[in-house]
Amino acid sequence: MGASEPRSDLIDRWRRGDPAAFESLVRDWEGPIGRFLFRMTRSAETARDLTQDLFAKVYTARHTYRDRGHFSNWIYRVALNLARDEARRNRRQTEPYPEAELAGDEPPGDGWAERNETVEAVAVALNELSPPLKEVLVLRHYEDFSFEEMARLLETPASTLKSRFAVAIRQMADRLAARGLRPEEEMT
Amino acid sequence: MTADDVPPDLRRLLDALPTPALPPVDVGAILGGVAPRQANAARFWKRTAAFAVGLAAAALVALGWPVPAPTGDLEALRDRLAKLEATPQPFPDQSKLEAKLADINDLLLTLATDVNERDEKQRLALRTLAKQVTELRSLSDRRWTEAKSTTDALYILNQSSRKEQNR
Repeated sequence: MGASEPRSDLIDRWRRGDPAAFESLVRDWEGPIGRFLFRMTRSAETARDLTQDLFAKVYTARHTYRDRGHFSNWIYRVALNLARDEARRNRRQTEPYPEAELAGDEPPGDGWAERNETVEAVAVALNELSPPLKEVLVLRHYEDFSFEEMARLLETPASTLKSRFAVAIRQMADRLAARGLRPEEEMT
Repeated sequence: MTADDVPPDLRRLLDALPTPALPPVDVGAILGGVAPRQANAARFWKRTAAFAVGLAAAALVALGWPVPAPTGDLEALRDRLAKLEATPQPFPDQSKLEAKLADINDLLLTLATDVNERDEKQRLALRTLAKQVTELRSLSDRRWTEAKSTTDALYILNQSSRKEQNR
């Protein structure tokens, strides 16, 4: 998940307030954390702001961090709390994907509009999942958390998380089917 | 692939969701913004403590009590305030505290509603059970009465038959 666990000496220097150590942590983790926050909030602007807030918290809370070799768990917990606060504060509508992002590096061609619709449908289906189901699906699929790692992060038994994961998969399939999109239809 | 993995077809769809490139975190802003905020927080608490001490002294004078001369405790408090400015504490975020309190309140209300609903369901279940027990008891009483009547009738019939035979 995310970047690899930082070395102990880097953690120690960061905790002592070493700016270079802090910047090193930021550069290693801003990508994974930013992507995680984007997937949870579906807004690039919000993800950017939350990522900035997260690392401000990481810096100010360095005195409270106890290095038990689970920095990744700690930073994802901070990110998760921010994402949850944002969801509670602002139950906004799903923003449409910017067309520039949908196009990616490929020039528009045949099937581009259809692909956009498919991507939009998948994004909406994912965003319609309840927060507990969405968290499990995003952490499992995109962040590659094992259920045991998720259990430590979410403080929930792994068996419960596996059940939620199964429900999330089923709901995604049902919602996509309701939009006329079956997962077995491949995106061409 | 196991049940713990996303099915391949759904995985392809999820992987197709693009993730925009986010701008890098402004580390300078974080490092630059922390020190002034902490200094402000320290000044705020120092002023608050000085105001509280002044208010307490004014209250004592108003009540006619002699204002206590600075003692070791006050000196210690002054030293502590000086240290507070030197080692700044993070400024409490009131809005986040209120948000957390609101969440705890919501959770308590939800739990209370759950408990009430469960209590109601249990009361309903107990009432149904009591009714069923009463019905079974009535049925049992009726059957017993019928069985007794039948037994009595058979006994009388049997006795009558014997008397007939003995004649």
